[in-house]
Amino acid sequence: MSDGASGQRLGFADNSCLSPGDGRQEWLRDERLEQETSREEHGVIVIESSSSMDSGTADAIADGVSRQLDPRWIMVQRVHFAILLVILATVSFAGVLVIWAASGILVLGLLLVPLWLTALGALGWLLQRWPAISYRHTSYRVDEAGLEITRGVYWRTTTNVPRSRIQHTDVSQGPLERRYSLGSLVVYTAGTHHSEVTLSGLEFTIAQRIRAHLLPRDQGDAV
Amino acid sequence: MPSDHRLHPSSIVFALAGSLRAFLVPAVVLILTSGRSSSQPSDPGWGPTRWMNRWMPGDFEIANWQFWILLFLIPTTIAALVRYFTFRVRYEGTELVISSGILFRNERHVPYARIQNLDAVRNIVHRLLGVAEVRVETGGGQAPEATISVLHETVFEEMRRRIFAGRTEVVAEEPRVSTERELEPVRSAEREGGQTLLYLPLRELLLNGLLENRGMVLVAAAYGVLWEAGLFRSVWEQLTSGAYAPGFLRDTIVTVAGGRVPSAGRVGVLLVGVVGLLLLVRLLSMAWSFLRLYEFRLTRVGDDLRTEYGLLTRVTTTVPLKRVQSLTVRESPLQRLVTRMSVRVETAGGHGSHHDKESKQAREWLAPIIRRSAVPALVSEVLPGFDLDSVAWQSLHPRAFRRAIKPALLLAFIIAGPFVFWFGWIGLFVLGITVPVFVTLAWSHVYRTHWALRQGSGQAAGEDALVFRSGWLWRQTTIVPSTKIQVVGCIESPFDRRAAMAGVRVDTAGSMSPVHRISIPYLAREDAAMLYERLAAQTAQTAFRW
Repeated sequence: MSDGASGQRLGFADNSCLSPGDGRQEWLRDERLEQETSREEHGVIVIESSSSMDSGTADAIADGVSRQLDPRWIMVQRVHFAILLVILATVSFAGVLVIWAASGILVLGLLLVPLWLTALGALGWLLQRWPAISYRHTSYRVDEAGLEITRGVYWRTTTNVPRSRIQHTDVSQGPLERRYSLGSLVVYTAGTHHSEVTLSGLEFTIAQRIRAHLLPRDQGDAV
Repeated sequence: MPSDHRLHPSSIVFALAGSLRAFLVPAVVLILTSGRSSSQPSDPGWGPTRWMNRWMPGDFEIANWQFWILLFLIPTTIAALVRYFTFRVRYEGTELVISSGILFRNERHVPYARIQNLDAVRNIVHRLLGVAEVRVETGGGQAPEATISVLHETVFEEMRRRIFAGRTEVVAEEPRVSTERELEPVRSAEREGGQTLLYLPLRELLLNGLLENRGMVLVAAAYGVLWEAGLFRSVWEQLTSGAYAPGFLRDTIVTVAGGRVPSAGRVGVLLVGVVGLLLLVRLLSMAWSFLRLYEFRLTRVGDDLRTEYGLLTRVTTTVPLKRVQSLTVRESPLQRLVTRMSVRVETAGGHGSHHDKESKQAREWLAPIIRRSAVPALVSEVLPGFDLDSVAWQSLHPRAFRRAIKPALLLAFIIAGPFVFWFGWIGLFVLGITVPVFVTLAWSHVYRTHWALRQGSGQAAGEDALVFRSGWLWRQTTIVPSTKIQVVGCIESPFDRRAAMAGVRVDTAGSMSPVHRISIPYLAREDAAMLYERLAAQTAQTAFRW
């Protein structure tokens, strides 16, 4: 499952809005987290227990260490792209056929179809590679102050959402993500351009734990 | 209950008028386009109209469209009646409670403390009847939390007083030390111990109209309406009595393009026309400014900013000082000539409510026009302790202009390229225009673009603020207190990376199209990282208070 990622582990998320060789990068599935995650998976109620989680486990997430997404996310994205590609191929093939039929030139088909095949093949190859590339350039960091997400291969952005500005959070899971037990964390702020910040490709339990950590604890910020 | 308020009876009329207005444009077009034919009573009508006309007394006949309008009015009428009879506003402790509906009963509780702003709009009919349309906005949601149309003025006054009092109760009343200012006689605000921050006399209003080119909007609107009604041609023909058809301008252009010199008369008419149009536009703009901003007064009542203005439609807006998300000072080239500026604030109320754009824009005008020398005082009033003059501006990367000019030149060549290719020498002429224009744009993008991070000392950590200014011709300076920063972002494009630069963006709660978005480009990477880290830290330390 994580075959795509194993090859990419050499890579390093050096997104450099912050100082480049930060050195605090760690993989998601480090020993400590592995244990905690599995322990939690044995528990029956995962979602509800997260809110009553003692601060010790919550802080294990909020250690200010930059982490990468779950490697299974690469696979999920590849499947997503594959579905997209199939749809695109069907539509464009129909288009090619229509053009061919409309032109009434037999030779044109001999030219168009290989062209179509080449374009589609190139796109497929790119889409097959892209998830792993983007995975290498995506990381997140949770600490006491809030959540920080770094992403983007060419245009690299680092987004910092302070905990005190979070209005509410979502943890969502699509059918494919459920199959791989992944989830997306969506953080809502009162901002306009970043009123919702999405972090996809987290392990579901980790997404929930981050959510539990980010939830406002002090009720004192009522105006 | 003594504190139970209901709508003013005239609200039914206003609801009907509102829905009639929706029919107005189609009806006018219908009447105009059908022209003569509608004057003939031979139209027999069909269906229900025919049946109804049998019962109509005398010559009166209902045309089809009249019937359909009446039919469409029935649901509106019922809704308005239901609304009138069930709508209640009451005050419960620190909450505003609005209830309405028969079948679907709805009760909305709005805590005073969450109210972002309280606006009242009174057009001329409202004022004759002594009523007001009231808008209550909180931070969330698309539309105002409550649009109450219409309340009696005294009810609105009481609502404002209660909401205001309910808030100061919590804050614990502190005696305001009023600085020495000329206090002009103010009506309601004065009675509540308000302090006038800005009053616009007639001269400033006209000046504002002259500087702000609003007239073009009116001309465009008039043109649109005329076009819509299909009247344009006939109006034009009447105006020019057929001598100069719309082809006049085209003819002249064709003559010039053909290498011939147009007759002096033609040139004269054209010049007079252009100058006249420009004058007309400015005059319209001044009239607009006069009508819209008549008796503009900005007052500070306790911790609220209150603006009142308008000749026909009187608008009253209230923005709590704490709710100011950001403040922007703008200066257009014309304004600079006469040392004026304009100041706007952003509030978080009513995100993206397009239908309500008018009142939202209105609220954001803290000062449509203000002397440059008075700006620092106003700014320090809105953001206590902020001194605009003593900001330590930081520059962008020294090579910022060299970066900015590359895409500008590229764009200029891309635009001019096809012209050069097809027209040769004329294309070079186009290139001669696009290159300077884009170079100027690049220059104005970078020149005078500065940022500053103000750090409050010690216990005044809540007064940290990010200041960002940009623009060469149209200059804007925006101040965001770090308590109002929502999200801090750092962005690095491939080109940035090559030049070891980065940009920093800051997101605040405000309107969907911020006047001046804080996006600082072309920073040295270390500066960007430092700014980002410090902003993130400052923001995380402070709690966001709407």
